[in-house]
Amino acid sequence: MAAASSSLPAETTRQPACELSGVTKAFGAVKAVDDVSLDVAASSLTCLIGPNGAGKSTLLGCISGLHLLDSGVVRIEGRDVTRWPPHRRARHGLATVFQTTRPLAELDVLDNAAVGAHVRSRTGFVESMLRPPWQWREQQRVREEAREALAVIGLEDRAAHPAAVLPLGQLRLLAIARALAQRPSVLLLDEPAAGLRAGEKAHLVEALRTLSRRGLTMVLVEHDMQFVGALAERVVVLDRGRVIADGTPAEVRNDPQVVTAYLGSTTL
Amino acid sequence: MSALVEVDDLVVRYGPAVAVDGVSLTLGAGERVALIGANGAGKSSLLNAVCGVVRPAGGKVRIAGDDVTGKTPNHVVRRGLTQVPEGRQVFPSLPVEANLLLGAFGRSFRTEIATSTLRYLRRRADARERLERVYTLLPKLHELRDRPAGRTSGGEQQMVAIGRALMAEPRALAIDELSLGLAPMVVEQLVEFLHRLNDEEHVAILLVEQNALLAFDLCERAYVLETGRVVLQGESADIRDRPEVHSAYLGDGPG
Amino acid sequence: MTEFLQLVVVGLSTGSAFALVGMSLVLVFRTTGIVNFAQGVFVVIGGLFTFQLSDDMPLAVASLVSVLLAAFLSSLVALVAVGFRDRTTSLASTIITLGVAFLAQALLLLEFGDIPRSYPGISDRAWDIGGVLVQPQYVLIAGVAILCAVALTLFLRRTIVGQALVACSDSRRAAELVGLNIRSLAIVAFAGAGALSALGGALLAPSSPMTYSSDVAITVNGFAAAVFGGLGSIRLALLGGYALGILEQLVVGYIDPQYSLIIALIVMLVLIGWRSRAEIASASHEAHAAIRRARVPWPAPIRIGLIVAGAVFACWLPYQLSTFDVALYDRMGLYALVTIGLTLLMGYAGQISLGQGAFFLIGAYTSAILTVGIDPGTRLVDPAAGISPVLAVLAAPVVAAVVAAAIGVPLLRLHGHYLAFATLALHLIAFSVLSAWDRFTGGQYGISVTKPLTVFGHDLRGPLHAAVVWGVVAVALLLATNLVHSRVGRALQAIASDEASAAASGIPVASYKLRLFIVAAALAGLGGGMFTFSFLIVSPDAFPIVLSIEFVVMVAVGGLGNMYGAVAGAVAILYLEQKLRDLGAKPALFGWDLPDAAPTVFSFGVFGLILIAIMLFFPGGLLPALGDATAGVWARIRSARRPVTTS
Repeated sequence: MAAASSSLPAETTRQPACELSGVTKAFGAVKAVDDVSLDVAASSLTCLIGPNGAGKSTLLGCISGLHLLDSGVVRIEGRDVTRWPPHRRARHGLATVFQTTRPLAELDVLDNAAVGAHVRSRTGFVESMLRPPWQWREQQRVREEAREALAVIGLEDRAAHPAAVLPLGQLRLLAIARALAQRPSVLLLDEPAAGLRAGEKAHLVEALRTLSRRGLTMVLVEHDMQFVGALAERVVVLDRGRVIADGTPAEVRNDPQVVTAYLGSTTL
Repeated sequence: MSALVEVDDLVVRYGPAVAVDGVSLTLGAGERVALIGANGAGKSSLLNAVCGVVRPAGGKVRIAGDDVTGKTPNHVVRRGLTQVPEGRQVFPSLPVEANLLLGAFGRSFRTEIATSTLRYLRRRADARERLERVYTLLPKLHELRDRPAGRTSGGEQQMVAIGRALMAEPRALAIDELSLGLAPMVVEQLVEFLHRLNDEEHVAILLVEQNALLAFDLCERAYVLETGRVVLQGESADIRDRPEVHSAYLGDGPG
Repeated sequence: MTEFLQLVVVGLSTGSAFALVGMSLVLVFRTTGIVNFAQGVFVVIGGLFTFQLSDDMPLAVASLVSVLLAAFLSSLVALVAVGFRDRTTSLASTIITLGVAFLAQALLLLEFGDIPRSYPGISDRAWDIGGVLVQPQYVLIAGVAILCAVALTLFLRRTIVGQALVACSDSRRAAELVGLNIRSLAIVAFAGAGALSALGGALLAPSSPMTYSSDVAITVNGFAAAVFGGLGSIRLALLGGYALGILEQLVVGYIDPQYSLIIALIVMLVLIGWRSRAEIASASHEAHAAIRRARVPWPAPIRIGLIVAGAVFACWLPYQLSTFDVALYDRMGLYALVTIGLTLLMGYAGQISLGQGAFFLIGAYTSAILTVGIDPGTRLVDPAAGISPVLAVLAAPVVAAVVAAAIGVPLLRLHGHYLAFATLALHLIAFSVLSAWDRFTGGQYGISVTKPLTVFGHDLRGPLHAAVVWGVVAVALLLATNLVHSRVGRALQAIASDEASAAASGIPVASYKLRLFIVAAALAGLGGGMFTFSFLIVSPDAFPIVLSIEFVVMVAVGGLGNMYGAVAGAVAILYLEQKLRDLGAKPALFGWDLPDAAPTVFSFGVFGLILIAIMLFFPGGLLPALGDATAGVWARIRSARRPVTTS
C-alpha cells in the first residue's frame, strides 16, 4: 500500500469510517460533549486535542460505547451503532485502547494480546471445558493472529514474557497489540503517549505510522503536541465540549482561538 | 541557607510504571518555583509524594529541615506545607466557611481526635482571626460563606481551595494545576492574587502547571519535567525561551 | 381497623430499632466507605449488657453504661476494620466486619448462653388509645430514634468534628490533604454508630428478647433501611426503618410471621437494585484484593495426568479411613465442589458471592424432595413415589442453575458490598423458605430419604459414596482448569481486570458474568444434591448462614484464582473445624468449664478470626502466602549454602 502523504485529504468517494452527528453527553449539569458532529474518513489518522476537561476522552467514550448519548447518532462504517453496547461495536470492527488498560498480570504477553482475538473466535463455556479437537485448532489460530499483532507492533520477541515485568512503554504497545488482534477497521486510542519516554514515544509514532500505511482508520486523543505534529493528518480541537478548530496541524497551531484556549494567556 | 522544602532523588512508582525517576528540587522561603511539563510527566505524582499522599519508593523529602519522607499528609501540613489539589476538591456538601475552618482544624489535628478537637476549640479565636484574614485576602469568599461549596463556580472553588489551604497558616503552598478547567480571565486574577500573597504574607509557592507561560509569569524559578526526570532547571527568565520548553508545549516549528 | 393500627404501632417500635441501625450504617459508610455487617451485634450488646448490669444498678444507668461500653468496643472494631493504610480495600474492610460479627456472636454465646434475655420496660401498663394498645416503651424508643436522627444531623452539620466526618465522605483525598486523620475519624464514626445501635438495643429488649444470634435479622433490616437512602441519608434511613418495621408487622399480622424476614430481604434487594444502577463498573476493581502472581500453567498433559493421579489417590483413600473420618472426607469433597465454583467466580470474574450456601441448600433439598416424592397434603411419604435417586441428583444442579439464571440478571448488576450483601440475602431467603414452606421441606425436621443412591447396582454409601464424590471433584477440577486456560478463561480474567476494556475487546461482560454465576451455582447444587445421600437426611441445621461464609474463607485460604487451592482450602478448613469441635467437646479446657454450645462457639469464633486475619494479612490467600514464605526460606538456605566468592 502506498504511504499516505500527510497533507492529502482522504478520498471523498469512500464512505466515512466513522460519523458523529449532534453528539451530546452531559454528566449532571455539565455538558462534557456538546453537539459535536464529525466525519472521520477511512484510513485517516485524526487527532483530538484540547485543554484538560475539553471532553476528548468523553467523546472517545461515546464512540466506543462506554457512554450512552443524551442525543445524537454514531455511525461506524455506515451502521448506526448508537444503541449498541461496546462489545457489539467491537465485533463490528471498532477497537479501543483506553488509558487505563492494565495488562493481565497472570498471563504472558501472547495471551494478553490473544484477548483481543476474542471476537474472532467462537468457543463458548461448554466447549472450553470439554476441549473438543476443533477448539484446539481455534486456539492455535488465535495464537497465530496474536503473534502477528505483536509483530506489527514490534513486541514479538517478548511473546513468552510474563506481562507483569514489561516497562510502561511496552505495556502500552501490548494494549495496542491486543486491539490489533481484533483486526479492527477503526482504532480509537486515548492518550497512547502518556507517561512514555522520548524513545518509547518515537517507537510508538513509527508503529502508528505503519498501521496508518496499512489503511487502518485511527482516532487519537492526545496532549503531546510534538507527538500530534509527527503523526496527524488532521487535528480536531475541542474546548468545553465543542469543536473549535479542524484542519492540518499547521493550520490548527496558528489558529488564534486554539492558541488562547489551549495555551492560556500568552505573552509570546 | 537550607531551603524550606528540599526534595532529594525522589522516586515514585505505580505498579510497573515509574512516575518519578530520581528528582531533586528545592523551594526557598518566600520563593516562587514552578514545576512544568506535559501531561504524564510526573508532576502531580511528585507533588503527591512530597505532600504525603503517596509513599515514595526512594529518596527524601525535608521541610524546614525535618524529614517527612513517607509520613502522612497531616505531618506535612503541620510542618508548614499545604496542598491545593488538582481539580480543587472542595467539600461540596459543606458551606464555604466550613470548608475554610476545616483547613484550620486539619492543622490542629494529631492522631487522636479528642485532644485534637480540644486543641482546635482552645484556639478558636485564632482560627476566627485567621478566617477574617483570609476573607480580607479573598473577599469573594466572604460573600459566598454560607453557600454549599458544591454550588460555586470553578474559579470560586479554586479560591475556596486556596483559602482552605491558607487557613493552616502555611509557610509554603503547593498548587496542583491552578489553571485546569478555568477561564483565562479567572486564572489571571488568581495569578495576581498569588503574587500579592507571596509579597505580603511571604508564603512560598510551588506551582505545578501544564501551562508553561503562566508558570513563567508567576514564578522566578522553574523545573521542567519529562517522563519523571528533570530535564531543565533554572531562572524563568533564562529558560523560558529554550527550545526544550517550546517543543514540549508548542510542537516543532511550523507544519 | 384497630388491628391495622395495632400492627402499625408495634411496627413503629421495631422500626425505630431498624432506623437506629440504619442511621449507624449510614454514619459509618459515609465516613469510611465500609458497610458494617457487625452493626446489629451492637444492638444485641445494648440489650444483653443492660440485662447483665441491671442486677447491680437501675435500668437507666445500666443502659447508659452499656451504650458507653458499646461505643468503646465499636472503636476497637474500627481499628481492625480500617486495616492497613495502603493495603486494605473498603470491600476487604466490609468482609472484616463480617468476621467480627461471627466472632462477636461466639463471644456473646459464651458469656450469655443461648436463652433470649429481656427485662422490664419503663412501664407495664399499656395505654389504651381508641382500642389500640400502645406500650410506653414503644413511644420511648420512637421518640429516642427521632431525637437521635435530629441530633446526628445537627452534629454532622454544625460541629467541627461532624463536618470533618462529612468532609471525609465528600472527598477522602482532600480530607487527608487538609490534615485530617481518616483513621481517627473512622473511630469516631464507629463509636457513634455503636452507641446509637446499643441505645436501640437497650430500648428494644423489653419488647423483643435478644440472644447472640439476633443480630442477623437486625443487621439485615438496618441495611435495608439505610439503602432506602442510598446509604447516604440519615433522614431517609429513619423513614426507611419505620417503613420496614410497619411493613413487616403487617406481614406478620395479615400473612405469616415466617415471611417477615423474606419480605424485608426482597424489599431490600429491590431497593439496592434500583439505587445502585448508577454505580460505575470500574469501582469493582476494589473487589480484587487478591494479588495473583504470574503462574506458568502446566502443559495440558501434565495437568491432566496430575489430576488423574490425584483422583486415583483420593478415591482409594476413603477405604483406609475410619467410618467417622470417611464422613468428614465425604463432606470435604462436596464442599470442594462448591469452592471450585466459587474460586472461578471470585478469582476469575471478580464477583463476590456470600450465598453459595443457598445453592448447596437448593441442590440438597431438590434431590431429597424429588426422591421422596412431593405430597404436600401429608407428611407421610410413599417410598415408591418420587424418582430415581440418580435422576434426582442430576436434577439438583439443573434446578440450582435455573434459580441462578433467574436472579443472576438483576444481581450481577451490583458490585462490591452491594453484591456481597445481596448474595448473603439470598442464603437468608433460602433458609427462611425452608421453614416457611415446611410442608415441602419438612421444616426443622428435614427430610429423610429412604432410597440410597444406587449406580450400576451398587449402593453408594460410606467409602464408596466418598470415592464417587471425589471422582466428581476430579472431573470438576479438570473442567474448571480447562475453562481457565481457554479463550473464555482469558475473557474472564479480562473482565476481572477492567470491565470497560473487556467490553471494548468484544467480550460480552454481563453475559459471561451470568454464565459463570450459573456454573458456580450448578457446582454448588451438585454438591448439595450428593450431600443428601451421604447420610440420607437433609435438615436446616446443615445449611446455616455461616456455611456461605465458610466457603468464602476456604477460597480465600486456598488463594483466589487457584483451583487446586480451592480444594486444599476446603480440606484444610473442614479439618480445622473438626479439630476445634473435638476441642470444644471436652468438658473443660485450660481450667475453664466449657458450656454445651462450645463446639459451635469455637467454629463461629474461629471463622471470624480467620476471615479477619486473611483479609488483613494475606489478601492473596493463606496457602499462596505459605508457599511464598517456604520458597523464600528455601532460597535463603540455598544462597547461604553457596560459597561466597570474593574478588
